[in-house]
Amino acid sequence: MTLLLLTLGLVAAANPFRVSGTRPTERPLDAALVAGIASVVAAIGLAALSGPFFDAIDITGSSARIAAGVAVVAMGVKDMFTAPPQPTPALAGRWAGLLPIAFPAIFTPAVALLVMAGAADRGVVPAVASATVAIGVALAALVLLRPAMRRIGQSLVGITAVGLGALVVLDGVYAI
Amino acid sequence: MVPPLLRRLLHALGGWVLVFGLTAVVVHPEGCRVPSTAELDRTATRAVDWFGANIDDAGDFTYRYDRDRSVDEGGYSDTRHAGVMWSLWQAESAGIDGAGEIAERAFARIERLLVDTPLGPALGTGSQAPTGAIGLLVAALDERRAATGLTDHDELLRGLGQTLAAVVNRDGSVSASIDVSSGVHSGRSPFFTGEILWALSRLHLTFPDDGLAEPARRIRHYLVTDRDRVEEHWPPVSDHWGAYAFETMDRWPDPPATSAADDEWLDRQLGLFGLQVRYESQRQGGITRLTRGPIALAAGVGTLGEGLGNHLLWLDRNGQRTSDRGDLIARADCAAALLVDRQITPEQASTDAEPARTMGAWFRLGDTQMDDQQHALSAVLLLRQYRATLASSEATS
Repeated sequence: MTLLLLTLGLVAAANPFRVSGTRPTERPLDAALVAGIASVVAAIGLAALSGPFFDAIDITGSSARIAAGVAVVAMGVKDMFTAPPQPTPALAGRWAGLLPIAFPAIFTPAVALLVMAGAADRGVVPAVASATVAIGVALAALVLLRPAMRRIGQSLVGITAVGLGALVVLDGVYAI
Repeated sequence: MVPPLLRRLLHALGGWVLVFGLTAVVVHPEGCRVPSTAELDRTATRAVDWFGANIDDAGDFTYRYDRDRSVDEGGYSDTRHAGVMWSLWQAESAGIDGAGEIAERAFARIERLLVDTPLGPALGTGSQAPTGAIGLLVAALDERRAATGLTDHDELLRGLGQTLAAVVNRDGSVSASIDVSSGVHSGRSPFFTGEILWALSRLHLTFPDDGLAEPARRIRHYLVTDRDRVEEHWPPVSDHWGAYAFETMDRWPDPPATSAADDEWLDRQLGLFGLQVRYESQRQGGITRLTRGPIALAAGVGTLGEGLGNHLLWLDRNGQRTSDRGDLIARADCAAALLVDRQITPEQASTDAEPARTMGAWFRLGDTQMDDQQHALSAVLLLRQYRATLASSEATS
């Protein structure tokens, strides 16, 4: 899987328009900072654990990419047809960055699986770097995007996620 | 009443369970392991023993046997007979006792089948002689020559080589059959291209002045650039015979350079082999019978091991695809392990009505066919050979 596909896949899986729906009315920048730190830490942890995890469940790296691609497609379909999430219920103040921004808005099963599959294929550092880009884009959208764009934007990115997820699946299928 | 935040969390976790459940349906655990060399030796020996127990005085093997009904189902394939002879000579070269003797007995059938055509000697009983059978017979007799030093079949080998060269078309495609009386050749087969390329490649090493390099190079070019597109085989062919050919051609004094087209073809082939091994390794019985179907024929799994083993040999020799090496070895180990684990053991055979028909064989849905034993034997022998090559190069470095 190329780094480009991994990065674009993560950006689509993290769907910045979906994440922007969880923008809190109070202290959005603080919440974004907490979300960013928590998400990057989670990405590092998942990437580092990808090898032992896939070994434990007896999945090769190639098959892990198929699984990740399927998850990205599934979440893409969900994003196409559901409304963006709401900012509440949430933890208070900046801690909204943990819940619901980092989880479950940014860290969906698709993002988690794709980070891990990417780490198994390309290494921990490239996977974390790609995840950081996706997290950054998502949080930039959280801070900057206007509400009017969220619904249509989420659907369009969902469509993109379906296409990119399919490419990730094919990458895993045709791999050794 | 569940607090709203907790409800949101639980809803999200429910989504995770659903998505992971969906991916679990699509991707199953792959039951792979690394078989020991002792297991490979034992598997190969038992397969050879099966051939020894299932050849009659006319040199014919038990072709197809139903374990559940204890019935010899009859039928035969001359191409597969030649393929079995190749595997037995391969085993003889690898030091498996008795393999060569069984292969010599099997030659009795070949003697009955040999026929003269306007193109040269061929094998067949009807009006059409399959060219793939000639290819595999060449491989078998050439390996015999290498294993024993005997040159008594040289005239036949050279004649078969000329027959094969004559069925290579201008574009490098090969005809699947020869009209015995007219010499007209026609048809295509998904496997004969690789078989004939391999045979000609071997003969060029053995008889370098027989002019067989040129048709071999022509076939190779067709194989990597046109065959899949022109012949439109579906599903795509994972070409283990082509892998044998690439490994052999790599040992030519003047091997063809690996072209961009070769690389593209190799990408597709290695991916096909790997995918099939991964898929097969997910067939673990139980619920996977619903999602993955029954286990594949041992012949099919064996061809995966043959393809991977051959590609590993020549790629390693040249230091190519080093980044793929780990995955290739893992898939080759996996294919061999599946074969080791699925072979009928003496203990399992002891409760059968005819243990000699079953011990050392592989069965699918109650049936075995002699090419199951052929391809499985060759696959484990190739992995053994690769490991020996690795050990040898590590010792000298």
